[in-house]
Amino acid sequence: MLYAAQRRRCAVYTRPLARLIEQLQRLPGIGPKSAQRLALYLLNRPEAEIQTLAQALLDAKQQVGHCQVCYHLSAEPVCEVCSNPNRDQQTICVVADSRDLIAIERTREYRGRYHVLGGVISPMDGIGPESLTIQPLVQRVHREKTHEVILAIGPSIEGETTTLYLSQLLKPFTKVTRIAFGLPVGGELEYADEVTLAKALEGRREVE
Amino acid sequence: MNHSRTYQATGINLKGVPLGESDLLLTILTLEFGLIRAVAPGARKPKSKIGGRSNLFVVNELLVGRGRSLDRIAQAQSITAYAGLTRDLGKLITAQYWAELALAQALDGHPQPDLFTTLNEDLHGLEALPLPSDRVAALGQLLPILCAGIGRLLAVAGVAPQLGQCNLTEHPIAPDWTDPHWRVGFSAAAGGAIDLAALDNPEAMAWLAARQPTKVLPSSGVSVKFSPLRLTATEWQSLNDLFAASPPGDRATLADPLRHWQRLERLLRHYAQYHFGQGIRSAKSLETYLNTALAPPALV
Ligand SMILES: [Zn+2]
Repeated sequence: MLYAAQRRRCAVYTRPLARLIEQLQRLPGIGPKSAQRLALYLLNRPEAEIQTLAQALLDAKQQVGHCQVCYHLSAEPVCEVCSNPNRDQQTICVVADSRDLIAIERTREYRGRYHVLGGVISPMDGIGPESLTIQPLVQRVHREKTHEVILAIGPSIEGETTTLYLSQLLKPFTKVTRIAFGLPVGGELEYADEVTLAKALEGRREVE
Repeated sequence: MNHSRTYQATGINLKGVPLGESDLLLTILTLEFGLIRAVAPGARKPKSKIGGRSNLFVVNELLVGRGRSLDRIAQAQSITAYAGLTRDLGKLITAQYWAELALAQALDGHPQPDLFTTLNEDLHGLEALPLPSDRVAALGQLLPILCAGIGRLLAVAGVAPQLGQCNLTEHPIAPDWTDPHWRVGFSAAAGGAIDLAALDNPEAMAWLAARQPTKVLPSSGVSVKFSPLRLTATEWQSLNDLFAASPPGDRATLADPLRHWQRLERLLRHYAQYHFGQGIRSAKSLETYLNTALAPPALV
């Protein structure tokens, strides 16, 4: 079936265009229609602009690695957050991946440092604790005598297991807290799902 | 399924993969229609009404709209979420191990109420199971429960191993409890127990060789041992108990229960992988988890 669809596409698009559409369609969130739109847009741009884009893709792939301290994406051996002397060295916020770190940075609420795990524990997807940067985190907390570790991992079953597993590992060395989960700001109680509502109840706190 | 534009189902989420900007594509084992795949629209947005309901192992009452290529969840109401599974990594590994076995045998659009009920009952028991905080002790309790669940899932799939008689000669297997060196063979390809004496028969060996995994599982990447394993009388008895209709009375205490059940888990895994024709990924985490529990990595 796929074969027939590919043949049909080749009949409509000239081969290099079909190849570009195929590559774009591999990107997350891009369906056949968007891929076609993007491909046709790119074809209409000046060649210099396309060169810049292609070069940017290659540069990013070749130059961006992981920070040696926190495993955030970084072109330098140590990322900007870790090398910034104004950030609180005694607090580490643990996130599943760099996207979460970027989201927290956008709030401008947090002045400590981070640790990027590289995912959450999900054995059926082949991700056990050993596939994540958990051991380096424990060593880091132990070495740096960290005052507080804030666990900021999403509340899925896998995220929750990762949070509780980490807290068991880290509690002997430091204070461990976790971010609160529950109702979205502006959300109405009656529309909340049971799972979220249960989380919100579990995370309740005393009114000051 | 009838052909109205929506249908109702009760189902447990067994898999979710991101789809597009904010959707999830869920694989759901339903009571009424077997395995279905349906889009949970907007499930990855924080304000989504379906967000929490699309988590792994949540059981929902669903209203699903039929789509041209993919069905879409129109409404969901959670019945249970098995949230207690998250309190112990061993529990999550066990639950996901079972989920993999359920996915391996579930059929698209074909009701398998026994599979749905068995999996839910076992998850329910697992969630409620009190575990000691010591990890080795906890694993000692978890492993037999994992094995029992694997046994039940093999039985609902109709591929439970035959243990009471030799699968080659049909002679009854009678362990000699007075002889500590007594052994019985076990082969996934043969379908369970084999009298080791039967292996002297060249015809029997040829029959087994013809069922070598290289022939049965081309390119699946699953390594399945051909030569039969050897079970002690105690191991044979434990396996028998797993597949018995009624739970057995007290058995003699095991010298090293953790090793005993670890060996039986490997044997059942190898058997399940052979019969379902695919690997069980959770098993790798189980191995690592066991090893680190027995010998924790040193700091620095
Ligand atoms: Zn860093």
